[in-house]
Amino acid sequence: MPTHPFFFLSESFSYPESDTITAKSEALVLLAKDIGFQVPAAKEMIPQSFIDFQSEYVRLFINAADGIFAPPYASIYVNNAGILHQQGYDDALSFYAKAGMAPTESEESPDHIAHELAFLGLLLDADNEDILASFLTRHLCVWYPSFLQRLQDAQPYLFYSVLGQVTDLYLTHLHKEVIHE
Amino acid sequence: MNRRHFLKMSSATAMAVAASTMDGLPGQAGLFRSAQAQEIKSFSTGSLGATEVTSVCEMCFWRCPIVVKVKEGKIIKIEGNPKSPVNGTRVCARGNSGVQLVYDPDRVKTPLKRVGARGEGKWAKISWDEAFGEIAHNMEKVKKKYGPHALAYFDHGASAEFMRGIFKAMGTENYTSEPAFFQCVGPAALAYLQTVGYVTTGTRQYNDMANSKAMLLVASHIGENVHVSHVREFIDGLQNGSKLVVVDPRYSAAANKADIYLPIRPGTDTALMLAWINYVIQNKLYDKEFVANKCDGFDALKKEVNGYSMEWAAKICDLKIEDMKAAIKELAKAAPNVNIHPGRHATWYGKGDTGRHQAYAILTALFGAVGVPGGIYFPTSVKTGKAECPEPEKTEVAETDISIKDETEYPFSSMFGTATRDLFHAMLTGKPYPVKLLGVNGVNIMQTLPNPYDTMKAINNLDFIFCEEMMAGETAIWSDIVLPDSVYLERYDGLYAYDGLTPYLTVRQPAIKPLHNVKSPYDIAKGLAKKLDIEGYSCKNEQEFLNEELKGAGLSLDALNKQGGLVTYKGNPYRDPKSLKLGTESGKVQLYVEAFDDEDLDAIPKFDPTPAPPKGFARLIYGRAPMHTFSRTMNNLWLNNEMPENKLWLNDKIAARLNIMDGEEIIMENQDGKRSNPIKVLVTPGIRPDSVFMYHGFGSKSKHLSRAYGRGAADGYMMTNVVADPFIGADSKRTNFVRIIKGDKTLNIPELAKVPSEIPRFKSKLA
Ligand code: SF4
Repeated sequence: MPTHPFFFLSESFSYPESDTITAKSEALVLLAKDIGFQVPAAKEMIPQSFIDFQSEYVRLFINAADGIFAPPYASIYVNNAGILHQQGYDDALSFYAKAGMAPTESEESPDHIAHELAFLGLLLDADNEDILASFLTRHLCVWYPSFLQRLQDAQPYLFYSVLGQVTDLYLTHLHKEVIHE
Repeated sequence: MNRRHFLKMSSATAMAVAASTMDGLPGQAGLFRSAQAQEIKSFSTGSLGATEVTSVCEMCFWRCPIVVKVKEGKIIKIEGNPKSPVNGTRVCARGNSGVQLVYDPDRVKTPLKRVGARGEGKWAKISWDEAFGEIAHNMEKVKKKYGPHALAYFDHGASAEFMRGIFKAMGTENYTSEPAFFQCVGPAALAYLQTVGYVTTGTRQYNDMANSKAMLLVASHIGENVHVSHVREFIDGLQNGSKLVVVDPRYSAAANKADIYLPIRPGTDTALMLAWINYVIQNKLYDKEFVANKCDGFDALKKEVNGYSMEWAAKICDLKIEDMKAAIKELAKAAPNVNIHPGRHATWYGKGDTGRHQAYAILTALFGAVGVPGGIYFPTSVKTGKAECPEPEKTEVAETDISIKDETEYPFSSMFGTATRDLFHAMLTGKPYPVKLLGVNGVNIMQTLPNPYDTMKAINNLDFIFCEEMMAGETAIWSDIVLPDSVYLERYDGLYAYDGLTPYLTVRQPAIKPLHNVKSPYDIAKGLAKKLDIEGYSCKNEQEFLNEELKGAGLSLDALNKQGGLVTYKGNPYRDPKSLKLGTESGKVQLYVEAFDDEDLDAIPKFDPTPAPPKGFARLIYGRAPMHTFSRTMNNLWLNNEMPENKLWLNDKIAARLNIMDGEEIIMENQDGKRSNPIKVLVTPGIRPDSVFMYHGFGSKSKHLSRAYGRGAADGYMMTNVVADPFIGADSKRTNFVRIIKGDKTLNIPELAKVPSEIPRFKSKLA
């Protein structure tokens, strides 16, 4: 059984290869409820067709209908670089290396939000407190709000809007706790 | 960790989360592997200590040799290759900004399949295997249903070659319809090929501006259309004291450097050229020896141009006769070291375009400026090997009763491929046979062709369209499948053998591993060939065929890299006029082109005026911006920052009459009532009152290019009157007229330059 939500959030930010949207929506509602946050009912988050859901992902995160609205990469937001493989990307790689991890071969850039949330999950599993604190404070929580803003500006399907908010809540909560410890 | 209660999911949540994933959640942990923990020092900024990879720029087709500086797997900076005899350490703004192209978040990152309407840009991500499968299935289906010629390929640039082989192997005669030719240089290439026996202007230009004593530029964008070595040669020429004559309705960057500037009425350049040719003959300013020994058809030429006087031309061209005379005398004085520049973009008015370039070639020959310093020179080819493996094994155009190439009205088009207008006519009408599948590579199909309204109709008639693209531009939106191409900094290509004044051999090679899920053009062709069971493409990778080809030059990739990625050779650009033998049938310059006469076309150019603007309209002319390449670079962060939008140049006197201020936003309306995106006005005395000018390539209608979308206006959307060049069927681009919409008012453009009665007026329902 999963013990924390970050692998789930990471997977939800990855391209939906198989039609698990109903189950994902239900899980998202429960996750929100666990931390006292009200979100619309799961059935409202389910799009008309799975192909619509996939094309929404493409629109938001790959090549979007009004320009790429919410490129899901740290590099875009850190220092407002606007392009890939800049400071935000370097920072992500530094944190991974420090924690004794390296991104595996993937078509996604390692500063993709899905990578960063999975990394967070691994840090929690490993009780790696020091890196967790600095990763949140100096990196993920720095750029995530700008990404979320662009995601919401894109008027995404409800699922992605809720996913963005729930992720934000979990990150904010975790960050607060880390700071207070 | 215990204190983090909020992270503890309720058991219901944990179950729901577990149920929502196919692979089980720790699957996401697979995004990482364990490694030796290490502290990475922050990367030092700047390019000091970077690895250098030599390569070739592809931000435009000029292909300057470059050095790419790479640090920690990232491209930091691009400079010119110091070993390059043409650009040295220099690159232009676009060359610099290749860094931005690689890391642009709007790149096509993965194969995409259209899931909405064509033009809507609604996509799902698919695998390469699915993408190849869909394309192969549709190619076979269309071939079976309509025959092989229903498949067509529309391409431009270095990456397009490999895929062309697939279309050849499928048996279609329509394996190339290069817009570079039919939308741009075609009439010039044909004129020079027939007159002096070789193409002096194309991807390369064999013009010795640097060693000239005088230069003539007709509506050239040099300095705005920046090709590094080209601009350097031009500037070297000026620095060496070359006199410059510029003929242009617009005060261009080149006009700014001119000794004599002739602000000609658009559409009358051939009248000026013919009057000059006549003047040169009548006043015996030509090279008698060269003409007597090396030219055919002088008497016919003399007779034909006899009626074109300077007085007549002054009226037609709206120029001062003394300036015209001063200019031709200056050019004659410099002969034979005079550069009558052939230009490149020749598709202006349709019917006079080949003739205009023929006239440049004739004037060049009259001055004996062939194969001499300062004139047009000869290419020196670099000997390399030929590898068979990056191609299909067998290619044969299928037999056909009806061929587009035989049915064409344009007798010289098939020398260069399928004329774009013939191809799109077949797509629109099914005649002479239906074309139902289009592969597009490296072309913005909406901005490269005039009249995008017809292009949209033609695309909607297709059973299938796919493209190979780097950016999610207008072509991608209209395609059923989009294949993501690697950027030139991520891949190998063919060899680059430069055959100019100082020839060299170099090679493009990857500076970094490809980002995202993109493939190189060779791997794309190879993958599709496999799906189609086309034999060939047997090289394992690009290095294999490059090594094979380099062997012919006594080199290998390693050996070339040890020599700085580039080797130079001795050029042989000039000829002793006595032993000059040209590539024409007689070996001499053809002042009278019999092949044209055989097709009932003018063997010697005549002035056949293109219609003047209808009352209330100005002619729309366009050109290139120094920091942009066609419509390809408008989304580039750095280049967009330099020039985010284009402006409409409007004559200051006209602006005053219409009460339009500099920077004001207007809309253009063309002679057929088509309206543009809003565009800002640049009020300037640097444009004639009967013309307006804008830089090409802006006003993208692709919402996918986040920075370029809707910024400025697109000239192509104003081009609904297209006239064919009768020789090759190239499409005219300067035969459209606009007036101005400001707020809710339509403003007619007052006529300040009187049109002589010899020039007919374009008839518009709106005038
Ligand atoms: S002219 Fe500029 S963009 Fe073109 S190849 Fe050279 S450096 Fe690149």
